[in-house]
Amino acid sequence: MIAPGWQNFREGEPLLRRTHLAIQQVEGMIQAQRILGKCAEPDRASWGALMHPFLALCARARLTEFHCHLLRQAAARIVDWEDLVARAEMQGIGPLVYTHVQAAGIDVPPAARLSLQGLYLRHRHAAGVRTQVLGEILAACQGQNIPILTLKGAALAYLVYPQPGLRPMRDLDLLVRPMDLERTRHVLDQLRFVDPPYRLPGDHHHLTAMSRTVDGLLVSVEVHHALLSDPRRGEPARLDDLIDAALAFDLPAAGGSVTARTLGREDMLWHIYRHGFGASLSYEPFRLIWAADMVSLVEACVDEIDWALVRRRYRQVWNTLPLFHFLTPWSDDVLDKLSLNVKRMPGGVGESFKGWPVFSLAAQKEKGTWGVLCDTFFPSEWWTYLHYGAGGMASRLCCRLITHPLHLLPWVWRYLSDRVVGSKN
Amino acid sequence: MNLDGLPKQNPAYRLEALDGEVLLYSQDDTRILYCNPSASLIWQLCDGARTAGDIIAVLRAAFPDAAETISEDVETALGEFERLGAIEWA
Repeated sequence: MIAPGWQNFREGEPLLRRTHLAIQQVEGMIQAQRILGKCAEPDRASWGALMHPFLALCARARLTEFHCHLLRQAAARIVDWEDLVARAEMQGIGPLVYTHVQAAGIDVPPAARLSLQGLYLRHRHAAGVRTQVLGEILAACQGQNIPILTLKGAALAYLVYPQPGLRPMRDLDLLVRPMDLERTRHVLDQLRFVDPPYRLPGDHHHLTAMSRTVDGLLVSVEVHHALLSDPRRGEPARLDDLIDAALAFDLPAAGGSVTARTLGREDMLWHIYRHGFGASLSYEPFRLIWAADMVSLVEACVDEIDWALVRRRYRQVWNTLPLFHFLTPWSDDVLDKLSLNVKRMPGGVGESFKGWPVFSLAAQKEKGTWGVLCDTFFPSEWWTYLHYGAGGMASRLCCRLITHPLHLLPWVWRYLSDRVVGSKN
Repeated sequence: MNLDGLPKQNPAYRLEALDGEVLLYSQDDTRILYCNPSASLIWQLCDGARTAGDIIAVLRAAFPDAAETISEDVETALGEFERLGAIEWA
């Protein structure tokens, strides 16, 4: 980059503009906590009430003109753009917001625009590094005849997003057969990945994340041997259960490309749903990037997905599809083809679970007893239906009045037991 | 400004063009700086081998019309880079 002529710093174009997000390094902090095995309480408070309609609308890989119109309307109501950018990053959709703002022709104040550009560039660079590393791992595993599937963001980034950098991720998630775990660990050892100073229990569904720094970026890999419970059998799904439906895609790599494989589209929908919305209450609150994954996969593959299979095998996924419409509306194509019922908007759209045990009682003191009880036993309608995959009026009513309170019982029991033991000691 | 100091790029920073602008950003956090073409040139000269005085001399030779202001501009830019953590002094 050669300056065509000297541009004096004090005249005309500003010398250097600087910005710094108010809530910075959120992703970095979460990553550090995960690596240190301390993913418990810390930053959850900062998640509360983070949803903004503009961000919810951005939770999709591609926009139609209608979405652009909605975005322009929502943008007109944004008061603090820099705060919004920081929240976008926490929700994992900073790069999507950058591209959508451009596509919709929205004017963003200079400091926030600079922040968005920074997020986009940072994730673009990270995606390039991760692509290279993933290609190395897959090639090495293929060389050792280890069947391997690429999961979640590491596959979706190439399958449904226009550019991989639009799908930020913390780890590369891979699935191998249980018998191949040690051989895969050895492959990673040879590729200079290192174990953290702690080990997860041997029966955990993935190995302790191994990491390696490449071009200044910490790349973390989680090797799974089982996925979340498969409704077909009520137990974790293994690679052998999923490989027949696996989907192949080309991963750009140095000197050509590597063929990667991932879950079949229907299994992928289930996995995104279970991981992002149906996981244990103790897991982190849902993030918009998971909604973006779900929405983008459906929009991109509505003609290829076997919807009869989804309805039959993954009923919860099918039931939750209308709920995403209230975050970021489905395209007419999806609404027509799937005949989704989106007539009634449930209460509390976008509102995550904010009661106990996700937040400690101490952290909710200001709500008062009644507030804590309400948030715990009667969370938002939208979240409840999403979390339990409830569809139909009777099922939804049952979910709110019976399933959710029953689900909390073990936590209550554990809490009371700890109190009794604590008082005896 | 110490003209004998050796400004050196922090390797965590990258300089890239986007939307017709040149941006200097950190890979480790959210710090980012918009650079005009002159500032980006100064950044590229911070190789840990040239002193601040050398950088001024190189730029004065390249842009004789702006020779009078270049010293102050380099000082301003290096100060900003340093505040951002984008350079270290060897």
